Amino acid sequence: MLILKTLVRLGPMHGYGIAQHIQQMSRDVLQVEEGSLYPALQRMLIKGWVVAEWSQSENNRRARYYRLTPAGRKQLGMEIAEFEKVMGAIGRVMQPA
Amino acid sequence: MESLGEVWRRLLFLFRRRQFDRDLEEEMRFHAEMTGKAQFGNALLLREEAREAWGWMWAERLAQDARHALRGMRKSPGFATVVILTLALGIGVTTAIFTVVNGVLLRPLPYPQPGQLVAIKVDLRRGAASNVIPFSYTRDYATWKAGAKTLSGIAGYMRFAANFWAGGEGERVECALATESLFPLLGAQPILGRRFLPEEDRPGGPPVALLSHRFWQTHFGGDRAVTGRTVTLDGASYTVVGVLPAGFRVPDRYGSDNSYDVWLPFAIGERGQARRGEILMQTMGRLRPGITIPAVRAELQALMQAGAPKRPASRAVVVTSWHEEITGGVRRSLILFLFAVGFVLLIACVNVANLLLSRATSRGREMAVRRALGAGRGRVVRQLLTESVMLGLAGGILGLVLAFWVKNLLLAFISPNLPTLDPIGLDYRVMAFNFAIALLTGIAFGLAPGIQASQMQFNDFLKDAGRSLTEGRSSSRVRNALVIFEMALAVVLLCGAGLLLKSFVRLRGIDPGFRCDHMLTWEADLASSRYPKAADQARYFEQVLDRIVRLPGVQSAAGGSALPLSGFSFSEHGGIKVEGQPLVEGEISMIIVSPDYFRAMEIPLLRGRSFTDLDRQGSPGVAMVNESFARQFLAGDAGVGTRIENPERKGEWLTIAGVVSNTRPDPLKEAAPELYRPYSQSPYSHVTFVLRSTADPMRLVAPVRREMATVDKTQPPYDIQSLDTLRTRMFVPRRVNTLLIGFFACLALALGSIGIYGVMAFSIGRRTHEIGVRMALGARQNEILGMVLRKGLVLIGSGVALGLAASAVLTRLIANQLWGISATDPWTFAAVTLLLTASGIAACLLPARRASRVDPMRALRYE
Repeated sequence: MLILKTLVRLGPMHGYGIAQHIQQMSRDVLQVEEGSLYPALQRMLIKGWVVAEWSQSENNRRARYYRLTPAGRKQLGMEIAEFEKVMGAIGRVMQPA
Repeated sequence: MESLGEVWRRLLFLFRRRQFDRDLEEEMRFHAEMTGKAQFGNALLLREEAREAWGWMWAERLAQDARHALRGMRKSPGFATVVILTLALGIGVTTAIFTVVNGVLLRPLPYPQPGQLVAIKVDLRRGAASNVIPFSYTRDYATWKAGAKTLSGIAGYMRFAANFWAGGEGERVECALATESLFPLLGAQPILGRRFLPEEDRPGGPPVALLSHRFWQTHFGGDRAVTGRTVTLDGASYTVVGVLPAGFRVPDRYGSDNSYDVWLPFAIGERGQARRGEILMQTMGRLRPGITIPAVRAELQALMQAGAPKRPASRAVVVTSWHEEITGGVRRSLILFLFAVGFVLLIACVNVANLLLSRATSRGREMAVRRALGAGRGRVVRQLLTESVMLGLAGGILGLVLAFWVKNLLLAFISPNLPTLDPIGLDYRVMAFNFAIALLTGIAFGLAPGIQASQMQFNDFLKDAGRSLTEGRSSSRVRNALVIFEMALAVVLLCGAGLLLKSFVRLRGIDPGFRCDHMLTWEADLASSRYPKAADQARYFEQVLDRIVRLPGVQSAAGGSALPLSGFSFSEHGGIKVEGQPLVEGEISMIIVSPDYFRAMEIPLLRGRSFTDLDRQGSPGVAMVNESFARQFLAGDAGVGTRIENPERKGEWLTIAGVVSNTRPDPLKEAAPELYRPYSQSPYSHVTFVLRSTADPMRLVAPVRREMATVDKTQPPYDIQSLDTLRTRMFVPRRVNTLLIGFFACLALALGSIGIYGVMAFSIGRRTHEIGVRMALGARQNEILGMVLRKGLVLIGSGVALGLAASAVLTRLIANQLWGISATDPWTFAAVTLLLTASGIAACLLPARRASRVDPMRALRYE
């Protein structure tokens, strides 16, 4: 969900950028390990939520950019809805009595 | 749920994985450079984890393991060859037997809805003993056909042979009479012409015939206009109305080749035999949907009793599924074979498991290194399993080739007893079976080494790497247990084979009551159109005998209605009436013989005299009887001179001229009471000739044919063979059983010996160091030899003991195939023990001698 959201916000982005962005946005609370980032990206490729292409990075290096697909956007919507449902539920449970 | 697109992408990943892999690598390098870290953790591991998302890891690992296994096999080709050959042998014979089982027992009969077909037979119960004959009577058939509501159809047929003559030399052809309903019942549609019509299967119907495809091809040149032409059988002409399809067969349990060349309507056959009253027919019916066999039986029984109230009340109808009826004769043997080969396969697997275990032990270091480098326990087991399954599959493929070959051998050997309909071949079911057992064996023998390897404490292994101590206890325990198990299996098979062999030898050893060697026999069947009167038949018979006796090399010649070994005889059920005494119930075999019969067959005359040329038509009626007859009907009397009523013709009295000793052609049966009549007083159209020769009787075949043709070339002799052959043939099913089980037992013995050799050789190899130390400390060669042999003996002894215990239980299953010995015959068991121990020790001797020749200096320095 976080990766998909990042791609919505940034447009096409490479793995390193995604990790950086999540880390910044969460103010270093969420550290994205390479060990989980890349398997996750591969899974999304398989699922067809993202597509990957090679292009030039900001500092003129070849980097692999991931772009959200319509299916990915739909998936994000579903995941956000699910997430909010769960957060709401947790919130209600944790409410001070 | 995987969408189509997802599947497509997965496949894409599979086929372009190199590119994707490069992408991943480059991307990660980029990431690492951006973070500024020199190292990206374990880059390889990370990449593999990322790749796992593609979902092809299992396939990659499999391919990797397979490659590894292949490399391993190439590196030790001897090991791989031994393993694959052992497996191929086990799988091959198992598949071969399964092919036959599949072809005979599992495949449905090639008729529409074969499950509905039933065989209808009669039990001529006498007292408590049931006596089921594979026929029923035509009179009952008519009743059933008219009345049975549980059957949608009923049909009957009866085989016979006739002399076919189309100019030139006559030929004997296999024919059958069929009720008009048979072909519709079996769904047979002629390829030319039509089936019999109902009015053709009635007394006085037109003489018509259906031809088999083969006969049509060989004798009518495949003439498409064959309908309307005639075929001449036994001097009578029949108009061909149709040709049956090539594959049409009506099998029975006696496993002849079941192909009848000419079919005639049943009513035609009835005409010829009308004087015998009731005619036998092989009867079958088709169940109406939803009807059970007991329901049919009950209905037919009731109909039979209502239709013929004079029948003995004890006579019972027997209904069985037709498939069971046909295969009943071989089912038990085939299942026995399947068990036996199962044992052989098990032994082969155990052997291979042992080999793999030994290898796993020497590969312990490799495994330890793998584990140390991060391979999980499951991963190691998986690799070993892949290796063993590959070996199993290789063995399976080779086994399939072997099976094809063994199957042909097997069929050539046992087919006389198989009721085959179609050629038995390797069909998809056999393939599936073969593949399944190859896979299963691969897993079975791969699991033990795999588990053992995975449980290994690899630290210890790395520590003692290179230093071989005495071998680890647990692994040697598993191996020993396997060898013991293998030995036990071999013992069970050997015991079974030994018991079968012993009862076979005993059966063969029983004196049949006549001499079989130097005897030639053949048959002739006189067409009633050519020999209508008894006197004509008698004249033919005398002419033939007269000529045969004068052939050079012939000691004596005789003839009769039925030979002791021909397997058929005429029985009279009416009982015997001795003059001045009440009728005594009983069944008697009626046998017609020429005067020289007893001399030629060397059946001893006990009392009185034999028939002579003076016992002729017109002279007083005489008979001879056997001991059994004398005991049952002429109790207390010497027999000779007593007068009895002719059971075939009431009111005619016969004087008993002599008593001969019993013959016992089938050792499984007690000698039945027999009444002999002279041929001249009671001629019969079917004759069996015998001659006693001075040299090899088969040399006389051509002269006999010539003489027979001189007398009448339209009446060909058939079934020409030596009496020895005939007698041997009677033992064929039993011999086949014995030989096959014996063969499997020998295989088991060989595999078992190889197994024990392997274990001993391996353990000696591992203990070279220990033995070296022992010898350095003063142990003598003999002591080392004794030590090794003792260990082998313990293994052999345990295996034999376990096997004997198992045999005592299991051989009971074949008790019904044994004769004259108990299923736990102590001599057989003792012989097996001796044989197995001897071959086991022989197998141990080689490694033991090697052990005793260990050079202590070299063994120690080697370390």
